[in-house]
Amino acid sequence: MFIIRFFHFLIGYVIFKAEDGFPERFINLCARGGIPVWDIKCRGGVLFGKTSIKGYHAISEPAKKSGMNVSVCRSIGVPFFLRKYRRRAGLLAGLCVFAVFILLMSGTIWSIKVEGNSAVSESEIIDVMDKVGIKPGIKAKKINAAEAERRALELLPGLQWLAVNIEGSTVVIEVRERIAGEEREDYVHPHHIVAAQDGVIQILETYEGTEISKNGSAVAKGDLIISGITENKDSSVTFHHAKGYVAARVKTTLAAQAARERDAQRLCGTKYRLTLIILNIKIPPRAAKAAAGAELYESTRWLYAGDKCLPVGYVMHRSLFYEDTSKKYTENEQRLIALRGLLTQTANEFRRSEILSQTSALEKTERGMKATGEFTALRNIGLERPFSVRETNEEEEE
Amino acid sequence: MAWNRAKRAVGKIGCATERISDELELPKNVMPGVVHIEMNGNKEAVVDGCRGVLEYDENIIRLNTGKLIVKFTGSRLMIKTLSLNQALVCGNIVSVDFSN
Repeated sequence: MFIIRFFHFLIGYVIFKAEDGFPERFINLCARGGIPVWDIKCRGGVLFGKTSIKGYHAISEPAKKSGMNVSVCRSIGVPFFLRKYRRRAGLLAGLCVFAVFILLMSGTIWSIKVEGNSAVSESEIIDVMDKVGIKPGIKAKKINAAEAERRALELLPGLQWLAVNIEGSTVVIEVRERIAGEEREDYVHPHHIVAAQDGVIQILETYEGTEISKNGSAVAKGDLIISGITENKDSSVTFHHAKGYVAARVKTTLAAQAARERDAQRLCGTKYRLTLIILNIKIPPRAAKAAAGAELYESTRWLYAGDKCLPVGYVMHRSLFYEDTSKKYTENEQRLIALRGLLTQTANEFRRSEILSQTSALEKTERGMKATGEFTALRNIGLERPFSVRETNEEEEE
Repeated sequence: MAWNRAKRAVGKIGCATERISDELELPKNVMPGVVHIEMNGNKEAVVDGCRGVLEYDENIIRLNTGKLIVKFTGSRLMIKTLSLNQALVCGNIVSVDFSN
Protein backbone atom coordinates (compact mmCIF):
# COMPACT_ATOMS: atom_id res chain seq x y z
CA MET A 1 0.00 0.00 0.00
CA PHE A 2 2.87 2.31 0.84
CA ILE A 3 4.40 1.67 -2.58
CA ILE A 4 1.16 2.69 -4.30
CA ARG A 5 0.90 5.84 -2.20
CA PHE A 6 4.53 6.66 -2.87
CA PHE A 7 4.00 6.13 -6.59
CA HIS A 8 0.97 8.42 -6.51
CA PHE A 9 3.07 11.00 -4.67
CA LEU A 10 5.77 10.74 -7.33
CA ILE A 11 3.46 11.24 -10.27
CA GLY A 12 1.24 13.70 -8.39
CA TYR A 13 -2.50 13.60 -7.69
CA VAL A 14 -5.42 15.91 -7.02
CA ILE A 15 -7.98 15.70 -4.20
CA PHE A 16 -11.23 17.01 -5.64
CA LYS A 17 -14.66 17.83 -4.36
CA ALA A 18 -17.84 17.28 -6.43
CA GLU A 19 -21.20 18.74 -5.37
CA ASP A 20 -24.74 18.85 -6.70
CA GLY A 21 -25.91 16.65 -9.58
CA PHE A 22 -25.82 12.87 -9.61
CA PRO A 23 -22.76 11.40 -7.91
CA GLU A 24 -23.52 7.80 -8.99
CA ARG A 25 -23.67 8.81 -12.65
CA PHE A 26 -20.49 10.81 -12.24
CA ILE A 27 -18.65 7.78 -10.76
CA ASN A 28 -19.95 5.47 -13.49
CA LEU A 29 -18.93 7.88 -16.24
CA CYS A 30 -15.46 8.21 -14.73
CA ALA A 31 -15.08 4.41 -14.58
CA ARG A 32 -16.35 4.01 -18.13
CA GLY A 33 -14.10 6.78 -19.39
CA GLY A 34 -11.01 5.16 -17.85
CA ILE A 35 -10.39 8.07 -15.52
CA PRO A 36 -8.52 6.78 -12.47
CA VAL A 37 -10.53 7.80 -9.40
CA TRP A 38 -9.86 6.38 -5.98
CA ASP A 39 -10.69 6.95 -2.29
CA ILE A 40 -14.17 8.13 -3.24
CA LYS A 41 -16.05 9.31 -0.13
CA CYS A 42 -19.51 10.74 0.10
CA ARG A 43 -19.84 12.95 3.14
CA GLY A 44 -22.96 15.07 3.66
CA GLY A 45 -23.96 14.86 0.02
CA VAL A 46 -20.54 16.02 -1.16
CA LEU A 47 -18.30 13.63 -3.05
CA PHE A 48 -14.58 13.64 -2.29
CA GLY A 49 -12.10 11.69 -4.32
CA LYS A 50 -8.59 11.52 -5.67
CA THR A 51 -7.47 11.44 -9.28
CA SER A 52 -4.28 11.79 -11.29
CA ILE A 53 -3.27 15.07 -12.95
CA LYS A 54 -4.25 13.71 -16.34
CA GLY A 55 -7.47 12.35 -14.84
CA TYR A 56 -8.39 15.75 -13.43
CA HIS A 57 -8.12 17.31 -16.88
CA ALA A 58 -10.48 14.65 -18.25
CA ILE A 59 -12.92 14.79 -15.34
CA SER A 60 -14.77 17.90 -16.57
CA GLU A 61 -16.74 15.95 -19.16
CA PRO A 62 -18.28 13.39 -16.76
CA ALA A 63 -18.91 16.26 -14.32
CA LYS A 64 -20.74 18.22 -16.97
CA LYS A 65 -22.85 15.19 -18.02
CA SER A 66 -23.77 14.35 -14.41
CA GLY A 67 -24.38 17.96 -13.44
CA MET A 68 -21.66 18.05 -10.77
CA ASN A 69 -19.49 21.00 -9.86
CA VAL A 70 -15.94 19.80 -9.42
CA SER A 71 -13.33 21.83 -7.58
CA VAL A 72 -9.80 21.13 -6.36
CA CYS A 73 -9.27 20.68 -2.62
CA ARG A 74 -5.53 19.97 -2.66
CA SER A 75 -2.78 19.16 -5.15
CA ILE A 76 -0.21 16.74 -3.79
CA GLY A 77 2.97 15.26 -5.26
CA VAL A 78 6.36 15.95 -6.69
CA PRO A 79 5.21 17.71 -9.91
CA PHE A 80 3.30 20.33 -7.84
CA PHE A 81 6.26 20.77 -5.51
CA LEU A 82 8.64 21.33 -8.44
CA ARG A 83 6.15 23.66 -10.09
CA LYS A 84 5.99 25.72 -6.92
CA TYR A 85 9.73 26.27 -6.98
CA ARG A 86 10.23 26.38 -10.75
CA ARG A 87 11.22 30.04 -10.73
CA ARG A 88 13.83 29.55 -8.02
CA ALA A 89 16.82 28.50 -10.14
CA GLY A 90 19.19 28.94 -7.19
CA LEU A 91 17.36 26.27 -5.23
CA LEU A 92 17.60 23.83 -8.11
CA ALA A 93 21.27 24.67 -8.63
CA GLY A 94 21.89 24.13 -4.90
CA LEU A 95 20.09 20.80 -5.07
CA CYS A 96 22.24 19.73 -8.03
CA VAL A 97 25.45 20.88 -6.32
CA PHE A 98 24.43 19.02 -3.16
CA ALA A 99 23.70 15.85 -5.15
CA VAL A 100 27.06 16.06 -6.96
CA PHE A 101 28.83 16.79 -3.66
CA ILE A 102 27.25 13.76 -1.99
CA LEU A 103 28.08 11.61 -5.02
CA LEU A 104 31.73 12.66 -4.99
CA MET A 105 32.17 12.52 -1.23
CA SER A 106 30.58 9.11 -0.83
CA GLY A 107 33.23 7.60 -3.10
CA THR A 108 36.04 8.91 -0.93
CA ILE A 109 37.54 7.35 2.19
CA TRP A 110 37.19 9.63 5.19
CA SER A 111 38.07 7.48 8.15
CA ILE A 112 40.07 4.39 9.01
CA LYS A 113 38.94 2.11 11.81
CA VAL A 114 41.08 -0.66 13.30
CA GLU A 115 39.51 -3.70 14.95
CA GLY A 116 41.00 -6.65 16.80
CA ASN A 117 44.31 -5.14 17.94
CA SER A 118 45.68 -4.93 21.48
CA ALA A 119 49.48 -5.23 21.46
CA VAL A 120 50.03 -3.47 18.14
CA SER A 121 48.79 0.10 18.49
CA GLU A 122 46.13 1.61 16.26
CA SER A 123 48.39 4.50 15.28
CA GLU A 124 51.10 2.05 14.20
CA ILE A 125 48.65 0.19 11.97
CA ILE A 126 47.26 3.45 10.54
CA ASP A 127 50.81 4.66 9.79
CA VAL A 128 51.53 1.45 7.89
CA MET A 129 48.22 1.71 6.02
CA ASP A 130 49.26 5.24 5.05
CA LYS A 131 52.49 3.81 3.63
CA VAL A 132 50.62 1.20 1.60
CA GLY A 133 48.33 3.88 0.19
CA ILE A 134 45.23 3.69 2.38
CA LYS A 135 44.64 7.06 3.99
CA PRO A 136 41.76 9.48 4.40
CA GLY A 137 41.01 11.41 1.24
CA ILE A 138 41.73 8.72 -1.35
CA LYS A 139 39.12 7.31 -3.70
CA ALA A 140 37.64 4.00 -2.61
CA LYS A 141 37.91 2.70 -6.17
CA LYS A 142 41.69 3.15 -6.16
CA ILE A 143 42.22 0.83 -3.19
CA ASN A 144 43.70 -2.52 -4.05
CA ALA A 145 42.75 -4.34 -0.86
CA ALA A 146 44.62 -7.58 -1.55
CA GLU A 147 47.88 -5.81 -2.37
CA ALA A 148 47.52 -3.46 0.63
CA GLU A 149 46.91 -6.43 2.95
CA ARG A 150 50.01 -8.23 1.66
CA ARG A 151 52.29 -5.19 2.00
CA ALA A 152 50.88 -4.21 5.40
CA LEU A 153 51.48 -7.71 6.78
CA GLU A 154 55.09 -7.51 5.64
CA LEU A 155 55.52 -4.21 7.49
CA LEU A 156 53.72 -5.35 10.65
CA PRO A 157 55.46 -8.45 11.99
CA GLY A 158 53.25 -8.41 15.10
CA LEU A 159 50.21 -9.30 13.01
CA GLN A 160 49.26 -12.73 11.85
CA TRP A 161 46.35 -11.75 9.60
CA LEU A 162 44.95 -8.50 8.28
CA ALA A 163 41.90 -7.68 6.17
CA VAL A 164 40.94 -4.40 4.51
CA ASN A 165 37.17 -3.90 4.29
CA ILE A 166 35.62 -0.86 2.66
CA GLU A 167 32.33 0.10 4.30
CA GLY A 168 31.00 3.23 2.60
CA SER A 169 33.46 5.99 3.36
CA THR A 170 35.21 4.05 6.10
CA VAL A 171 38.01 1.53 5.76
CA VAL A 172 37.79 -1.09 8.48
CA ILE A 173 41.10 -2.81 9.13
CA GLU A 174 40.46 -6.13 10.81
CA VAL A 175 43.53 -7.69 12.37
CA ARG A 176 44.59 -10.80 14.30
CA GLU A 177 47.74 -10.49 16.32
CA ARG A 178 50.51 -13.02 16.56
CA ILE A 179 50.62 -14.68 19.99
CA ALA A 180 53.95 -13.98 21.74
CA GLY A 181 56.34 -16.91 21.46
CA GLU A 182 54.23 -18.55 18.80
CA GLU A 183 56.61 -19.91 16.21
CA ARG A 184 56.21 -22.41 13.51
CA GLU A 185 57.53 -25.77 14.61
CA ASP A 186 60.62 -26.92 12.85
CA TYR A 187 60.04 -30.46 11.69
CA VAL A 188 62.94 -30.48 9.25
CA HIS A 189 65.88 -30.27 11.66
CA PRO A 190 66.23 -32.78 14.52
CA HIS A 191 66.09 -31.46 18.08
CA HIS A 192 67.11 -32.62 21.57
CA ILE A 193 65.32 -31.55 24.72
CA VAL A 194 67.79 -30.18 27.28
CA ALA A 195 67.38 -28.66 30.75
CA ALA A 196 66.79 -24.93 30.69
CA GLN A 197 67.95 -24.64 34.33
CA ASP A 198 69.17 -26.71 37.27
CA GLY A 199 66.57 -28.83 39.03
CA VAL A 200 65.25 -32.23 40.06
CA ILE A 201 62.92 -33.87 37.55
CA GLN A 202 59.47 -34.59 38.98
CA ILE A 203 57.44 -35.39 35.86
CA LEU A 204 58.96 -36.70 32.64
CA GLU A 205 56.75 -37.58 29.70
CA THR A 206 58.41 -38.49 26.42
CA TYR A 207 56.30 -38.23 23.29
CA GLU A 208 59.03 -38.60 20.72
CA GLY A 209 62.76 -39.40 21.05
CA THR A 210 64.85 -41.36 23.55
CA GLU A 211 64.57 -40.66 27.27
CA ILE A 212 68.04 -40.00 28.75
CA SER A 213 67.24 -38.72 32.26
CA LYS A 214 64.83 -40.39 34.65
CA ASN A 215 62.18 -39.22 37.06
CA GLY A 216 63.79 -37.99 40.28
CA SER A 217 67.22 -37.40 38.73
CA ALA A 218 68.98 -34.07 39.19
CA VAL A 219 69.93 -32.16 36.06
CA ALA A 220 72.13 -29.14 35.50
CA LYS A 221 71.42 -26.46 32.96
CA GLY A 222 72.14 -27.77 29.45
CA ASP A 223 71.95 -31.48 30.38
CA LEU A 224 70.35 -33.74 27.80
CA ILE A 225 66.92 -35.01 28.95
CA ILE A 226 65.28 -36.40 25.80
CA SER A 227 67.49 -37.21 22.86
CA GLY A 228 66.42 -36.71 19.27
CA ILE A 229 68.49 -39.73 18.22
CA THR A 230 66.89 -43.18 18.39
CA GLU A 231 68.96 -46.28 17.86
CA ASN A 232 67.13 -48.98 15.94
CA LYS A 233 67.47 -52.74 16.39
CA ASP A 234 69.60 -53.03 13.24
CA SER A 235 72.11 -50.52 14.77
CA SER A 236 70.97 -47.75 12.44
CA VAL A 237 69.83 -44.44 13.93
CA THR A 238 66.80 -42.24 13.33
CA PHE A 239 66.79 -38.52 13.97
CA HIS A 240 63.68 -36.93 15.49
CA HIS A 241 62.34 -33.66 16.64
CA ALA A 242 62.28 -34.76 20.29
CA LYS A 243 59.06 -33.99 22.08
CA GLY A 244 58.15 -34.28 25.71
CA TYR A 245 57.18 -32.60 28.96
CA VAL A 246 59.77 -32.14 31.68
CA ALA A 247 58.59 -30.63 34.96
CA ALA A 248 61.32 -30.20 37.55
CA ARG A 249 61.59 -28.78 41.03
CA VAL A 250 63.79 -25.71 40.68
CA LYS A 251 65.14 -23.15 43.10
CA THR A 252 65.12 -19.50 42.11
CA THR A 253 66.21 -16.41 43.95
CA LEU A 254 64.76 -13.03 43.01
CA ALA A 255 65.73 -9.62 44.34
CA ALA A 256 64.34 -6.12 43.96
CA GLN A 257 66.07 -2.93 45.02
CA ALA A 258 64.49 0.37 46.10
CA ALA A 259 66.76 3.42 46.13
CA ARG A 260 66.57 6.13 48.84
CA GLU A 261 66.55 8.82 46.24
CA ARG A 262 65.92 8.93 42.56
CA ASP A 263 65.98 11.45 39.75
CA ALA A 264 62.52 12.58 38.77
CA GLN A 265 60.81 15.04 36.50
CA ARG A 266 58.19 17.45 37.70
CA LEU A 267 55.45 18.77 35.44
CA CYS A 268 55.86 22.53 35.32
CA GLY A 269 53.68 23.55 32.41
CA THR A 270 51.23 22.43 29.76
CA LYS A 271 50.47 23.99 26.42
CA TYR A 272 47.52 23.09 24.22
CA ARG A 273 47.07 23.54 20.51
CA LEU A 274 44.05 22.57 18.45
CA THR A 275 44.02 21.56 14.78
CA LEU A 276 40.70 21.20 13.01
CA ILE A 277 40.26 18.49 10.37
CA ILE A 278 37.57 19.04 7.78
CA LEU A 279 37.48 16.66 4.80
CA ASN A 280 41.08 15.68 5.52
CA ILE A 281 42.19 19.32 5.38
CA LYS A 282 44.00 20.46 8.52
CA ILE A 283 43.45 23.96 9.83
CA PRO A 284 46.06 25.37 10.48
CA PRO A 285 47.95 23.24 7.95
CA ARG A 286 51.43 23.28 9.53
CA ALA A 287 52.22 20.31 11.75
CA ALA A 288 52.72 20.83 15.48
CA LYS A 289 56.30 20.45 16.71
CA ALA A 290 57.42 19.69 20.22
CA ALA A 291 59.01 22.68 21.93
CA ALA A 292 62.50 22.28 23.40
CA GLY A 293 62.37 20.27 26.62
CA ALA A 294 58.73 19.35 26.13
CA GLU A 295 56.96 16.14 25.32
CA LEU A 296 54.25 16.30 22.69
CA TYR A 297 51.11 14.19 22.89
CA GLU A 298 48.42 14.12 20.24
CA SER A 299 44.89 12.84 20.45
CA THR A 300 42.46 12.82 17.54
CA ARG A 301 38.70 12.92 17.97
CA TRP A 302 36.17 12.47 15.17
CA LEU A 303 32.59 13.62 14.96
CA TYR A 304 30.06 10.80 14.83
CA ALA A 305 26.53 10.73 13.48
CA GLY A 306 25.12 7.69 15.25
CA ASP A 307 27.79 5.07 14.68
CA LYS A 308 29.03 6.65 11.43
CA CYS A 309 32.30 8.51 11.59
CA LEU A 310 32.17 11.88 9.82
CA PRO A 311 35.15 13.47 8.07
CA VAL A 312 35.17 16.24 10.66
CA GLY A 313 37.30 16.20 13.77
CA TYR A 314 40.13 17.78 15.67
CA VAL A 315 43.62 16.98 16.90
CA MET A 316 44.55 18.13 20.37
CA HIS A 317 48.31 18.69 20.67
CA ARG A 318 49.42 18.74 24.29
CA SER A 319 52.97 19.83 25.10
CA LEU A 320 54.11 18.91 28.60
CA PHE A 321 57.09 20.76 30.10
CA TYR A 322 59.10 19.04 32.80
CA GLU A 323 61.89 20.14 35.09
CA ASP A 324 64.48 17.84 36.59
CA THR A 325 64.28 17.21 40.29
CA SER A 326 65.09 14.47 42.76
CA LYS A 327 62.71 12.54 44.92
CA LYS A 328 63.55 11.16 48.34
CA TYR A 329 61.67 8.17 49.68
CA THR A 330 60.84 7.43 53.28
CA GLU A 331 61.74 4.04 54.69
CA ASN A 332 58.16 2.89 54.40
CA GLU A 333 58.00 3.95 50.74
CA GLN A 334 61.30 2.18 50.04
CA ARG A 335 59.91 -1.00 51.60
CA LEU A 336 56.77 -0.79 49.48
CA ILE A 337 58.71 -0.13 46.27
CA ALA A 338 61.06 -3.05 46.94
CA LEU A 339 58.16 -5.39 47.70
CA ARG A 340 56.26 -4.27 44.66
CA GLY A 341 59.35 -4.91 42.52
CA LEU A 342 59.70 -8.39 43.99
CA LEU A 343 56.02 -9.11 43.43
CA THR A 344 56.22 -8.02 39.79
CA GLN A 345 59.29 -10.17 39.20
CA THR A 346 57.61 -13.16 40.87
CA ALA A 347 54.51 -12.78 38.73
CA ASN A 348 56.60 -12.61 35.54
CA GLU A 349 58.95 -15.43 36.50
CA PHE A 350 56.37 -17.97 37.69
CA ARG A 351 53.56 -17.20 35.28
CA ARG A 352 53.54 -20.80 34.00
CA SER A 353 54.90 -22.52 37.10
CA GLU A 354 53.60 -23.76 40.39
CA ILE A 355 55.30 -22.31 43.47
CA LEU A 356 55.86 -25.07 46.03
CA SER A 357 57.49 -23.00 48.78
CA GLN A 358 58.84 -19.48 49.26
CA THR A 359 60.64 -17.27 51.72
CA SER A 360 61.13 -13.53 51.45
CA ALA A 361 63.24 -11.04 53.37
CA LEU A 362 63.76 -7.28 53.49
CA GLU A 363 67.14 -5.80 54.28
CA LYS A 364 68.59 -2.35 54.44
CA THR A 365 71.49 -1.67 52.14
CA GLU A 366 73.76 1.32 51.58
CA ARG A 367 71.62 2.49 48.65
CA GLY A 368 68.23 1.83 50.20
CA MET A 369 66.07 -1.27 50.71
CA LYS A 370 66.40 -4.71 49.14
CA ALA A 371 63.68 -7.38 49.00
CA THR A 372 64.86 -10.94 48.37
CA GLY A 373 62.72 -13.97 47.71
CA GLU A 374 63.74 -17.62 47.48
CA PHE A 375 61.36 -19.87 45.65
CA THR A 376 61.02 -23.56 45.05
CA ALA A 377 58.75 -24.17 42.10
CA LEU A 378 57.60 -26.83 39.73
CA ARG A 379 58.19 -25.73 36.16
CA ASN A 380 58.71 -27.00 32.67
CA ILE A 381 62.47 -26.90 32.07
CA GLY A 382 62.46 -28.70 28.73
CA LEU A 383 64.18 -26.63 26.07
CA GLU A 384 64.34 -27.67 22.44
CA ARG A 385 67.84 -27.48 21.03
CA PRO A 386 68.56 -28.31 17.38
CA PHE A 387 71.52 -30.40 16.40
CA SER A 388 73.08 -30.84 13.00
CA VAL A 389 73.44 -34.09 11.15
CA ARG A 390 75.91 -34.56 8.38
CA GLU A 391 75.56 -37.37 5.88
CA THR A 392 78.81 -39.34 5.30
CA ASN A 393 79.52 -42.24 2.99
CA GLU A 394 81.27 -45.44 4.11
CA GLU A 395 84.60 -44.63 2.46
CA GLU A 396 84.77 -41.35 4.31
CA GLU A 397 84.10 -43.18 7.58
CA GLU A 398 86.99 -45.55 7.01
CA MET B 1 -43.49 -8.92 -26.84
CA ALA B 2 -40.21 -9.53 -28.62
CA TRP B 3 -38.39 -8.12 -25.62
CA ASN B 4 -40.10 -10.60 -23.32
CA ARG B 5 -39.24 -13.44 -25.64
CA ALA B 6 -35.60 -12.40 -25.72
CA LYS B 7 -35.60 -12.07 -21.95
CA ARG B 8 -37.00 -15.55 -21.55
CA ALA B 9 -34.40 -16.95 -23.99
CA VAL B 10 -31.57 -15.35 -22.05
CA GLY B 11 -33.09 -16.71 -18.84
CA LYS B 12 -33.19 -20.19 -20.33
CA ILE B 13 -29.55 -19.95 -21.43
CA GLY B 14 -28.65 -18.80 -17.92
CA CYS B 15 -30.46 -21.78 -16.41
CA ALA B 16 -28.75 -24.12 -18.88
CA THR B 17 -25.22 -22.86 -18.01
CA GLU B 18 -26.04 -23.15 -14.33
CA ARG B 19 -27.21 -26.72 -14.80
CA ILE B 20 -24.12 -27.61 -16.84
CA SER B 21 -21.81 -26.16 -14.17
CA ASP B 22 -23.72 -28.11 -11.50
CA GLU B 23 -23.44 -31.35 -13.47
CA LEU B 24 -19.74 -30.87 -14.19
CA GLU B 25 -19.09 -29.68 -10.63
CA LEU B 26 -17.32 -26.57 -11.92
CA PRO B 27 -16.72 -23.62 -9.61
CA LYS B 28 -19.43 -21.02 -9.96
CA ASN B 29 -17.12 -18.12 -10.59
CA VAL B 30 -15.78 -19.56 -13.88
CA MET B 31 -19.21 -19.21 -15.44
CA PRO B 32 -19.86 -15.97 -17.33
CA GLY B 33 -22.04 -13.34 -15.70
CA VAL B 34 -21.49 -14.54 -12.13
CA VAL B 35 -20.43 -11.86 -9.67
CA HIS B 36 -17.51 -12.68 -7.40
CA ILE B 37 -17.50 -10.98 -4.01
CA GLU B 38 -14.60 -11.33 -1.61
CA MET B 39 -14.89 -9.93 1.90
CA ASN B 40 -12.17 -9.22 4.44
CA GLY B 41 -14.02 -9.11 7.75
CA ASN B 42 -16.62 -6.38 7.63
CA LYS B 43 -14.15 -3.71 6.56
CA GLU B 44 -13.53 -4.43 2.92
CA ALA B 45 -15.34 -6.06 0.02
CA VAL B 46 -13.97 -6.65 -3.45
CA VAL B 47 -16.71 -6.91 -6.05
CA ASP B 48 -15.62 -8.46 -9.35
CA GLY B 49 -18.07 -8.04 -12.19
CA CYS B 50 -19.37 -4.66 -11.05
CA ARG B 51 -21.00 -2.83 -13.92
CA GLY B 52 -21.81 0.44 -12.24
CA VAL B 53 -22.84 2.33 -9.15
CA LEU B 54 -26.57 2.71 -8.61
CA GLU B 55 -26.56 4.47 -5.28
CA TYR B 56 -23.74 6.02 -3.41
CA ASP B 57 -24.00 7.35 0.10
CA GLU B 58 -22.11 7.31 3.35
CA ASN B 59 -24.36 4.53 4.62
CA ILE B 60 -25.53 2.73 1.48
CA ILE B 61 -23.73 1.64 -1.65
CA ARG B 62 -25.68 -0.21 -4.34
CA LEU B 63 -23.75 -1.83 -7.15
CA ASN B 64 -25.04 -3.23 -10.41
CA THR B 65 -23.49 -6.59 -11.23
CA GLY B 66 -25.67 -7.53 -14.18
CA LYS B 67 -28.11 -10.17 -12.89
CA LEU B 68 -27.99 -8.99 -9.31
CA ILE B 69 -27.92 -5.75 -7.43
CA VAL B 70 -25.63 -5.87 -4.42
CA LYS B 71 -26.44 -3.50 -1.60
CA PHE B 72 -23.90 -2.72 1.14
CA THR B 73 -25.22 -1.00 4.21
CA GLY B 74 -23.11 0.29 7.08
CA SER B 75 -21.34 3.45 8.12
CA ARG B 76 -18.47 5.52 6.66
CA LEU B 77 -18.67 3.53 3.44
CA MET B 78 -16.48 4.51 0.53
CA ILE B 79 -15.37 3.18 -2.82
CA LYS B 80 -11.63 2.83 -2.53
CA THR B 81 -11.07 2.05 -6.19
CA LEU B 82 -13.39 1.71 -9.12
CA SER B 83 -12.56 0.35 -12.54
CA LEU B 84 -14.63 -0.96 -15.42
CA ASN B 85 -15.54 -4.27 -13.76
CA GLN B 86 -14.24 -4.11 -10.24
CA ALA B 87 -15.05 -2.07 -7.15
CA LEU B 88 -13.44 -2.06 -3.73
CA VAL B 89 -15.86 -1.04 -1.00
CA CYS B 90 -14.40 -0.05 2.38
CA GLY B 91 -15.91 1.03 5.69
CA ASN B 92 -17.96 -0.59 8.44
CA ILE B 93 -20.13 -3.00 6.48
CA VAL B 94 -23.18 -4.08 8.49
CA SER B 95 -25.08 -6.06 5.86
CA VAL B 96 -24.95 -7.19 2.24
CA ASP B 97 -28.24 -7.63 0.40
CA PHE B 98 -28.89 -9.10 -3.02
CA SER B 99 -31.84 -8.35 -5.24
CA ASN B 100 -32.73 -8.97 -8.87
